[in-house]
Amino acid sequence: MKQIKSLLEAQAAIDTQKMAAMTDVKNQIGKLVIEVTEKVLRKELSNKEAQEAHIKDLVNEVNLS
Amino acid sequence: MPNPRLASRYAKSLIDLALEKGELEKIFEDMQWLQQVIKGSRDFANLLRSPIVKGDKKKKIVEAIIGSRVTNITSLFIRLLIAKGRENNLAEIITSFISQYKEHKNIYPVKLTTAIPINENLKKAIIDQIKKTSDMQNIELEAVVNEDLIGGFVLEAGDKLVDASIAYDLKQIARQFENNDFIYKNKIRYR
Repeated sequence: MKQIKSLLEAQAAIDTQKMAAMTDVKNQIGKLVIEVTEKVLRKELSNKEAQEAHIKDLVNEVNLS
Repeated sequence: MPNPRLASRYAKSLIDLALEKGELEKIFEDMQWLQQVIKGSRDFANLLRSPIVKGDKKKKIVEAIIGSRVTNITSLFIRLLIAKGRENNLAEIITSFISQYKEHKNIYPVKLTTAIPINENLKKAIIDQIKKTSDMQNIELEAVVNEDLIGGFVLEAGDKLVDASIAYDLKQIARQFENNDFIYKNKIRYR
């Protein structure tokens, strides 16, 4: 009985550790993706026309009141 | 030493006097010109701030510089500042005067920051949109370029700020990847 209990506890601990590790990996991938996105966007928007088109799209959402 | 309260009081009384004499526009021009002079010449700005140079010497130098370039009220005002030993606050007083002038005229200064300089049509579209969505009808746009935005724009008007930049969006997304719930839970469990 005791053995089963400690086995279950170990299982739970492993699960948590697994999830922690997965989340960590997910976070690191997320950060990498953002870094890449930033580089790509920088390149895309270094073009004056693209930049202005993007701003044009945003203008209508401005609401200062 | 900066003293915003003092600056705004001197500026306010100058505005009141200008309104009374009906010379607001001329004095506003004087103030803009003086601001250019102070910004353009570090020596002049330092001279005004210097505690070593005596008042009457400063007065002579200032008179030589402004000469008859400004209206009578402006030159009297500056003489008054020097006589009261407040000439070190002149730059501040001018800044305050200009912002109070805009307030009086219902001109709203709006700061637009973009990653690269944008064309006039787009600026106009933005101004139109502000006019449409707020009670600010008389807008003075100050365009600033900041590459860190990557794209989009940031609008600052009075106490309002609209951040429609890519940098902001990316930061918001990056926030989602910052915490790891499972590590936090573990810490509590083992405590």
